[in-house]
Amino acid sequence: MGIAERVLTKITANQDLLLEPSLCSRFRTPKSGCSQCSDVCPSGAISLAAEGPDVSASCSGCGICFSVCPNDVFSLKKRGDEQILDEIIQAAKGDRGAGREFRISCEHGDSTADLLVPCLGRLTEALLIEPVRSGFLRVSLLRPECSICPNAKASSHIDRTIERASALFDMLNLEGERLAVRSMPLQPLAKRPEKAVTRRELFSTFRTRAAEVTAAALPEGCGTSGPIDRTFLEAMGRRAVHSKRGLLLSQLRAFEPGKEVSVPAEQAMLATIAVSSGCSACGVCATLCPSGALSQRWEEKQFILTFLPSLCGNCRICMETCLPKALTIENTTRLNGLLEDKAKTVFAAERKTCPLCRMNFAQPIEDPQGVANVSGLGDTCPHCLEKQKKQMAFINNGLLK
Amino acid sequence: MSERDTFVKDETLKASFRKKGHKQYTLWVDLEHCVGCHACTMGCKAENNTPVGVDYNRVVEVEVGEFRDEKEKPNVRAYFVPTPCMHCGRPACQAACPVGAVTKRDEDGIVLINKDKCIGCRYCSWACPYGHPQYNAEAKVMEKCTLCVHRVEKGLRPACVDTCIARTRFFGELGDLEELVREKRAKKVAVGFVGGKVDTNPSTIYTK
Repeated sequence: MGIAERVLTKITANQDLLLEPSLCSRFRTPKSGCSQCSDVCPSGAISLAAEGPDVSASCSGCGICFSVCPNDVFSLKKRGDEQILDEIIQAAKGDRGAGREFRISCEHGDSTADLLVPCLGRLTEALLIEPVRSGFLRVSLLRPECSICPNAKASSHIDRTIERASALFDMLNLEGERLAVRSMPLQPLAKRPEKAVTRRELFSTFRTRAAEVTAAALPEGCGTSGPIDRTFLEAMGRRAVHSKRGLLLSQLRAFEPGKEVSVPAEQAMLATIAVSSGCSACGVCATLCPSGALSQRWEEKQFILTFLPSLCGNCRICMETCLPKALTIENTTRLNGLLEDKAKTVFAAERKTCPLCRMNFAQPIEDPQGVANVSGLGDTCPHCLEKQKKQMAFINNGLLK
Repeated sequence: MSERDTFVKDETLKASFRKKGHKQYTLWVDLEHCVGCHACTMGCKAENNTPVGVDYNRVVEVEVGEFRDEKEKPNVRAYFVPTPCMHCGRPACQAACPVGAVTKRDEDGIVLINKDKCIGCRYCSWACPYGHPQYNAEAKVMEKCTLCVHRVEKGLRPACVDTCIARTRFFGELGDLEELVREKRAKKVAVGFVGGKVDTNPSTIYTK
């Protein structure tokens, strides 16, 4: 007790994969049972601790965890979404995409495809939208039978990404089929051709590798600027950098406005929330929200809770932690929320300060009924009111009868 | 010392500290002799340095009876009930905390709020059937009775137990205390009582 817990960005044994555990749902609340990353990792390299995911040396750098995580815990140094988007844009340059399909496949699929990823699970919605935005006629996924592949664990995630991208294309209301999935037989991994290596090349590789590993083993921040050690509260204040969502949002804005689309909330990319008048203005939802979609502030006269759906990742921490159950997630999500760039107020209440506990509390603005005046000093917050009741029940219903 | 020896005997207490495995340390408050002096509240406050408005141990005064009852006779009594944390077996505060700042120690059953993790949302206070955790306005976190864990770890008793002028507070392992209660008391025995039955399994014993 009294010792600040230090939370560090983790560098994994695989130098390409970086973790920000403070964004993980499990770190933020023990009530989250999210296990999407470990469920999907084909090498079984991810184990879930109380503070978030741990990646072992078995990590192959496939990047499926990066694609699956709703909170942006993982990031890829070498071939992130931005780099792959560049590859697609290059392929489309000079109208080379006009009238053509952009073919995407995996290491067990068609090695002649325009874009090869280690596993189709690496794909994000942004990568599936980009070819069409860049000028290709359609995206074609060459997908072997996933269930017999060593990466079979990622199969349902691939289904979900395809479904989500299809819903997005639906929303953009473009003519014709823009995303096609073509099955093909599962190929064994292509053998890398043997190549003679000179002594110079061998030692050069050793030297580079040793330097990389040493650099990773040094405390983070060596030779760089910026804060490293963070207390729990500071870690909680961290928000996602939106490496996946940011790209998608800028892509979507490149299209003409389409039509209204709603999707089932469970597998959706974002959530549509509703806040009832039972909200106690505790601010827990906004404090814990890893993406910053939910935000709260106390103004001079009001408590305001705002929601920006385009940042929401549907992690559900807000609904799981809300004690009065005032915040709920609707069963269907309005996908067009992705196109909104202004946060909307979802709850507003009049600000009061309790004379007993001196904490701010909120009385819903529409609620005309006043709060009881227990202490005679002014409006008392619901917590103190309940405490009074509990204490009297505690005494009166007990052994003193 | 007399029949109302303050303590679970020193040897018993020391022996209980040496025992391994899950234990529950708690308080026994004998209301028969509580005079409502609030020394326990002050002792606790001095020991834990709590700010104004936060008292881990409040003494509640209760009046029972009528000024004039059916027989036109005065029939009033007053009782004083100190209310520290019950250190429940299934703490509602722990279940309600959204960030997992509340833990129940295995070695002594003491329920603690980790102030470095606490975000001050007050869910623990809300969920507690006794409304015990309190908000520290300066530190912006929740605080509660720690059963003087810093003293217990050194083999001492909580401050409220040592300070009680009526020697009516007892500290020890739950099993040892129950034995002591059977030995010395029990016109009525109840353990942390709200409407009779409480789901959180409180461990503090009250007798009268």
